Amino acid sequence: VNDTRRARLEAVALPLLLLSAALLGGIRTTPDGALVFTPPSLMALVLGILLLGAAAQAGVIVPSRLVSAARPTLANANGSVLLAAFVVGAAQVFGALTPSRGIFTLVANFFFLTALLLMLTARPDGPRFLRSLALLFGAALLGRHVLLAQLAPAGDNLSGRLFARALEGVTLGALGLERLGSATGYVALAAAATLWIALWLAQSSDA
Amino acid sequence: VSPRDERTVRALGLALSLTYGAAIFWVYVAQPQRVSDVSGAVASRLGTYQVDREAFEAGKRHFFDDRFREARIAFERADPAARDARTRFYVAYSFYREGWGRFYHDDRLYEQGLAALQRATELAGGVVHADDDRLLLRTSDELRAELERGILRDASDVDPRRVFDRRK
Repeated sequence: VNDTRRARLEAVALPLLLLSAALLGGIRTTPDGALVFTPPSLMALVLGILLLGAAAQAGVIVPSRLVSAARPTLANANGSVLLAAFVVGAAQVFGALTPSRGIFTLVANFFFLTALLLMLTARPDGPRFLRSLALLFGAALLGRHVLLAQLAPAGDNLSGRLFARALEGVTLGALGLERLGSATGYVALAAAATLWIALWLAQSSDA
Repeated sequence: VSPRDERTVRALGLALSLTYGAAIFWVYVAQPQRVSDVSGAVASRLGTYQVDREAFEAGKRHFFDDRFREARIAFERADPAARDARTRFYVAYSFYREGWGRFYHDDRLYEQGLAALQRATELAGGVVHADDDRLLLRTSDELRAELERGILRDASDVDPRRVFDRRK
């Protein structure tokens, strides 16, 4: 029974959740409601690989248990798909939480890089890793989709637009404020939550 | 539970994951802008996508009454996923007629017309033919030439004889 449960998790539930995170993480909406699908940047992929390293150290997703010579070919194929889906899903979530241009892109990437290197160094156990990750995603979500979104309002509010234009002028365009549709933040939250749930399931079942 | 069940679960999971992954890849390549674009593309692949004939006829009525914005609204209702070459052709034609002027042509509308026409030819996989005697430009090639001529800046722009030109 345990083997079948494990197979269901490894071959069905986790890849589908991680691929859903990959799908959702790249969705942006414009102020007029159109959808834009953004592929992961190179930096986001690097962050995704680092997160996989941190998850492996915390024992949440261990690559050597998913792909090894001792496992059957089909199981290795499932494991490879899971690992690939994890990296792409994590990269897309990092992309969703990182401003796409301006000085804040650098700040956010530095923030993620530092946090992941700390995780890799501190080697937290599974529950602590998940708590740290929830905090990391929550802080980044608030930073990009609440605080920065307030500086570049999506609506046609004249004073808001004037303020954003003035702020851009004062900073010589370094802020790179972007006007996104209000749904973008909710989709980013869904993507981050989906990834986190996948990791929680993996940790609960000791994948 | 036998090992065979486990293998079945793994094989089904692999197939499901690869199919889902391929669908996500397609979405990122195709860049649909609205949910209706996705559903329309899927319906088109399955051969079940249909244009709303009533809305299309309403669009044509507006078009021939020179109410181009109303026409485009009706055409968008008729073909919400932008999958029908003939409807896109009429949308492009509406941009041409709205942008046409005796003294000048509206470049912005002409460019929108060219974009709509590009979509029409992509969908048709070549030239779009419109079977309507009331149209003077009945193929996408003729319409494209007219739109491109309108955008082009040359000596004919200051030729006074252009006031005698006829809208097609």
